[in-house]
Amino acid sequence: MLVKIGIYMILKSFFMKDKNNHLGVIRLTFGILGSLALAYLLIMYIAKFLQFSIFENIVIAIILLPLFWSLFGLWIIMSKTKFNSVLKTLIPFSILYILVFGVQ
Amino acid sequence: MKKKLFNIHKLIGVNVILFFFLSLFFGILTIFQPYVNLWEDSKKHISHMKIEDINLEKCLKQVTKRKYFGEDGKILRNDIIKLSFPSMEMRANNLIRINNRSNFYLDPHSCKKIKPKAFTISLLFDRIHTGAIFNSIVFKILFGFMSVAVVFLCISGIFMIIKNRYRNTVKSSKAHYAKYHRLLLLYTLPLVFMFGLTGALFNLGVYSSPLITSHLTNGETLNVLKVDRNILADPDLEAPEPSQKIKNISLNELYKKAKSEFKDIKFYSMQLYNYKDINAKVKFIGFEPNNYFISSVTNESYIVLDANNAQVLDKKIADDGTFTEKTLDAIFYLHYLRTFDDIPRIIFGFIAMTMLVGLVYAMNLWLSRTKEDKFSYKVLKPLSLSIILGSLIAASMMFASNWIIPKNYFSFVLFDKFFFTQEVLFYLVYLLIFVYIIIKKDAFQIIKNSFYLSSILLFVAVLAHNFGSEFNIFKTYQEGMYEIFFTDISLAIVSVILFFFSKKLPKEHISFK
Repeated sequence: MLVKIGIYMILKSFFMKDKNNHLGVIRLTFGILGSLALAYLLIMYIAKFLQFSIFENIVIAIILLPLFWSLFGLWIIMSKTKFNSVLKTLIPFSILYILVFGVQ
Repeated sequence: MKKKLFNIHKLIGVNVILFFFLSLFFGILTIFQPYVNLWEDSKKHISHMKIEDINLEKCLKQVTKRKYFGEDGKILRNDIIKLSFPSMEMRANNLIRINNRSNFYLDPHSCKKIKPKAFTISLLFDRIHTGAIFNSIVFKILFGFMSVAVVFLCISGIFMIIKNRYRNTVKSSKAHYAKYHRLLLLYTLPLVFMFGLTGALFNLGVYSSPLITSHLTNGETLNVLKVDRNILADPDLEAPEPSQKIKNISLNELYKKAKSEFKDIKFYSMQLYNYKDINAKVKFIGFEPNNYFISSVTNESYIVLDANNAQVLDKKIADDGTFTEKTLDAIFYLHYLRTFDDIPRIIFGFIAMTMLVGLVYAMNLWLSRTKEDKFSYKVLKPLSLSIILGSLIAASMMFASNWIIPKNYFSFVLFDKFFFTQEVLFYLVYLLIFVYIIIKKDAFQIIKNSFYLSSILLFVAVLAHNFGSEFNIFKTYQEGMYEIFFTDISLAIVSVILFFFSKKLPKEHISFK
C-alpha cells in the first residue's frame, strides 16, 4: 500500500504542474547539463555549415556555445512539469544527434 | 511561472556574484594598467619618446653582442630579433622589450639593458582579473563557468524585465537596491553580455573544444591548438641560413618608409629576419587608431620590407582581414581596450564602475532579503563582505606597499619555496579582513572602517612615492612624465573620495546586521 502511494506521489509530482515554485533537482540537472549537451550538438551542427577554415569554424562555434547553453537552459528550466523538462531535453537531443552524426 | 524565473536568476546569481565581482573589480584596475605599470617601477620613470627618435641600431647592438641559449640547449640565432616598441596602449609599457629573449628590456633613451621589477602589481591585477588566483587552473575554469553564468543572467534578466512590469518608485532601502541593481545593469547590459561571451572563450575555449575539434578534423586531433591556425596568431616568416654579410639600410629609415605606406598607423612591434644579411627582411606590426572596431588585437596591420632596398614584400591593412578576423576583432575590441587612448579609457572605467555598483547592490539585495537563520546567509554574509571590502583594501595595500617595502625584502624564501612579499601580502589582507569580520559583527562599522583604512593606505602610497623615491610630483611634471604625475594625483583624489564616503555613509541603507 505504502509503495503504491509512494509511486503515485512520485508520478504525480513528475507529470503534474508544480504548485510551489521550487526548481527541483530534475529540472536543474536537465537545465544545466542537458542544455550543455544540446548547445554543444547545435554548435557542431552549425560549424559543419560554415565555409571558413577548420580553426575559424571552431572558434566561431565555441564563441556561440555560452549563448546557446544559456538559452536552452532557460527554456528547459521554465518548463511547467518535470516530465516536460525531460522531454524538452531528450527530443531535441535525439534530433540533433541524428543531424550531426547521422543514422547508423 | 514568473517566480520560477526569479528563483533561477537568484540561484545562479548568488553562486557566481563574488567571482564576477573579483573579475570586474580587478578588470577596472587593469583598464588603467599602463599608468599603474609606469607608476610602480622607478626604472620606468622616463619621459615619453617617439619611436622615430630611438636609435634602433644602437639598441640592437645590446642584443647581438650577447649569447643566449634556447630551450633545446642550442645558441639562439642573433639575426632573428622580435621586439616591442614602447607602446602605451598596446603593450602598457614605455621600454623596448625583446620578445624572443627572456626578461630583456632596453631603455629607449640610452639603449642600455635594464632590469625592471620581477613582480609588478599591474600584472597581479591582470592575473586576478583572468582568474589565476593562487596561479591555479581550477579558479581559471571556475571563472570561465562564471562568464557563462553571466550570459545566462543577462538573458534571464531581460526576460524578467519583460514579464514583470517593474515600477521605479522607491519606498524602502530594499526597493532602492532592487531598482538600482535593475537599472544600472540594464543600461550596461550589452557590455556585460559581451564580457560574458568573450570571458568564456578565453577561459573555457581550449577546454570545451576537444569534441568539436575531433568531429571537424575527422578524429585527427583533440587539441584545437594543433589545428592549422590562420587567425589569432600570425606565423613567423621564413628565415634562411645566413649567407652573405652586408650592411642594411638603417632601421629608422625603414621605419619611416613603413609609416609612409599607411594613412594612419601606430606600430607596436618589429620583427627582424636575417639581420645584416643579403636576405634581410623587416616586419612592422601595428594597428590603425582611427579604424574603430576592426583594427586591434586579432586583426593586425603589418608590412614586410626588404631591408636592403626598402621594397614592400607584403602588406596588409585592417580592411583586408578575413570575415572571422574582423568579427573577432569587433567582439574583442571593447574587452581588450588595447587601442584606447587616455580619455576613452577613463570613460570606460567609469562605465565599468557603474556595473560594479550594480553588482554590489545585487549582493546587498540578496543579503537584505534572505532570512538570517539560513545556512547560506551565515556563510555568504562574512564571505561577501570580506571579498568586497577585501578587494578594496588589498588593492590599496598593493599601492601602499609598493614604495614602502625596501628593495631587499621584495621576495623571500620559506620552506625552500620562493615567494614575493607583495603577493603574500595581497592574499593575507583577505584573510585578515575575514577574521576581523568574524570577530566584529557590526556590518556598518566594518564597512566604515574598511573605507577609512583603504583611504589611508592610498594616501600613504602617494606620500611614499613622493618621498621614498627620487621622484616627486613636481619633478615628474617638469620632466614630462605626465602619466606618473596624473596617477599620483588621481590616487590622492580617490583617497579623499573614499574618506568622505566613509564619513557620510548612510546608516539606514545598511539594513542587514
